[in-house]
Amino acid sequence: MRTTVIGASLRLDGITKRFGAVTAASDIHLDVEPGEFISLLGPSGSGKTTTLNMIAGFEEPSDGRIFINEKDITGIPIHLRNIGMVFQGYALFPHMTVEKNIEYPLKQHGFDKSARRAATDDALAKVSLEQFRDRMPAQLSGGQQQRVALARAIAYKPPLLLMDEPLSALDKGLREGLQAEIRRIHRDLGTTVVYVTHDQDEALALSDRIVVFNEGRIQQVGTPIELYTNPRNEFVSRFLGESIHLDGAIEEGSSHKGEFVREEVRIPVNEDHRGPVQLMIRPESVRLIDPKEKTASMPSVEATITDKVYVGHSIKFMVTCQGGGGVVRSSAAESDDYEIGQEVLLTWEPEQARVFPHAKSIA
Amino acid sequence: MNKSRVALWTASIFIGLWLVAPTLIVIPMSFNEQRSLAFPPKGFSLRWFENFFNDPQWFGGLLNSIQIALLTAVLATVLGTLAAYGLSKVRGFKETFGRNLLVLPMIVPAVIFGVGLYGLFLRTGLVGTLPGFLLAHTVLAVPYVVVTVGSTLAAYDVALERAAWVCGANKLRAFVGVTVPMLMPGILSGAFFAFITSFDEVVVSMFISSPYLQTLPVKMFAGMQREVDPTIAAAATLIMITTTGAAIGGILSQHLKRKRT
Repeated sequence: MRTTVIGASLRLDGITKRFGAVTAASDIHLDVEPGEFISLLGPSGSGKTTTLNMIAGFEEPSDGRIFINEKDITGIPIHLRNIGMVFQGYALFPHMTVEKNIEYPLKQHGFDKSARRAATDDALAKVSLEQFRDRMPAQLSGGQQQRVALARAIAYKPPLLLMDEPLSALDKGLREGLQAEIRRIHRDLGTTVVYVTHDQDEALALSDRIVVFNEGRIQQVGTPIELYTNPRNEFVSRFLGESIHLDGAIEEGSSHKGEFVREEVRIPVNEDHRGPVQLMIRPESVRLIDPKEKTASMPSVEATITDKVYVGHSIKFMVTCQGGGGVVRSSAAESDDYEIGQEVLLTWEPEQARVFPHAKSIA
Repeated sequence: MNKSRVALWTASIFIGLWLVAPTLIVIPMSFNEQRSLAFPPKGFSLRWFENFFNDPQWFGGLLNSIQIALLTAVLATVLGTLAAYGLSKVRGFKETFGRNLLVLPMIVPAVIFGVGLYGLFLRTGLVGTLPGFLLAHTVLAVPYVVVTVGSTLAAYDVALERAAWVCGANKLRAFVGVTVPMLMPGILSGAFFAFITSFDEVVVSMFISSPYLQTLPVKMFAGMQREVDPTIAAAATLIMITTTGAAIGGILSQHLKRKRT
């Protein structure tokens, strides 16, 4: 048996799904490289599952085409698409043993008996469940059932593997263990994976690239680092990680390209855009300083600490300030003495701030 | 146990007895020694059962009934299961309309259905024939299958069927290999109820039977009008045992489902 597969390329060319008056997914364009691990991330109702269902063939797109390995598969029956899939609720066949479950796709794809046996053994070994082959699914724990589901999905080595929130029914410890298992299997097989999740940490941990969905549209596509450091809009910045957001406007500046302005505050930014904006800074880029230590040359924003959470290596402060607020993280050693209710100043390097042009008026 | 519970239990037992007493009375009557349908019976004998099995009219009626009921159960189960599955795939008006249409034979008065069918069967030569009985009884039995399979389908996780498709099974193979085994409790239960529906059907059967093909209930009804023959009580006892057995089968097969999920 070959142990690696050539992952398929996947191209979504403007697919749209309308249910009556509701548009569940709108004009989705996406190019997935062979062997890539890509996550569709978003809150419920954002269109990520609808998009996955269209790739699988459970839903037909109202518009647009889907290509696997540059072959148009729009409208092709599900069983001819050569995909594997892991479902949220496992979807193991309750009337078949673990072994029969894993053998099922091999049978449907016309593998002969000895090939079936070898592939089943291989898949069972990959998820370390050899000793459970004769059990019924109901006799297994949730984590074991999902590993059987994973084994079934990879048994015939599909070039494209779809995963629909496969870990969301499991508790946190199990989730992390299975994440590692999924990563390893993806590395071993080389299959292309499309992974749907609403869990940002899961998406960050697993993916080569993440597609952020909201309200039926793709918000941004990028590597985890790109999305975290350069979110394109407020939704992406809020959905992936913590941040401070400030409403204001950008005007012509003296020292830098521009200046973020809100009332008497003027902070330099590296930005060509002019007009109302929202400013975003990640928590680890912000420094808290005591108002007494303020120097004239240091641009800063006045804020009030509303909550303080000790998280081991650092302390998380929730802060509010005029026009915004958010989360600041600082190392436990240097900021232990700030208390809830205390007035502080927030400061950061100009290049750490991101600016989102604002459609809304300033609150 | 407090007072209201005692009252509740007493009332329940009384109502239960009220419902089954007339049915149970027929059993001692069938062991009567004398040629009467009097209750309480006098003495004990098996002569009416002997009479039943030795008389080709009675025994033949039983065999007809069993044959028709078994074939009806098979037909109604296949058709009803497919109909229920089809209904589960549509929504809104189509679903409501289809479901109501399919359970209509449960609601339409049997006499009206019988008269209409008689007229139709006279023209088509189906009166007193096996296909005629199967056609009529299947129409009457399908609603029970639609209901029992429909309720099993309501609890069926469609992801299982999707999983089978993704695994490379076409719609037919997924249906046969995955969906049908999952629906088996409802299908079996429906089959038992379809059997019962046909086995003790009398009104419609009277219209479409002929002297050459009579079911047991029709024979009993006819016999009742001519003479007082305790063989009828023996026949009734046999029908009761058969339908009770089938009903228990129907209930047990629904429990199969609870155990598995």
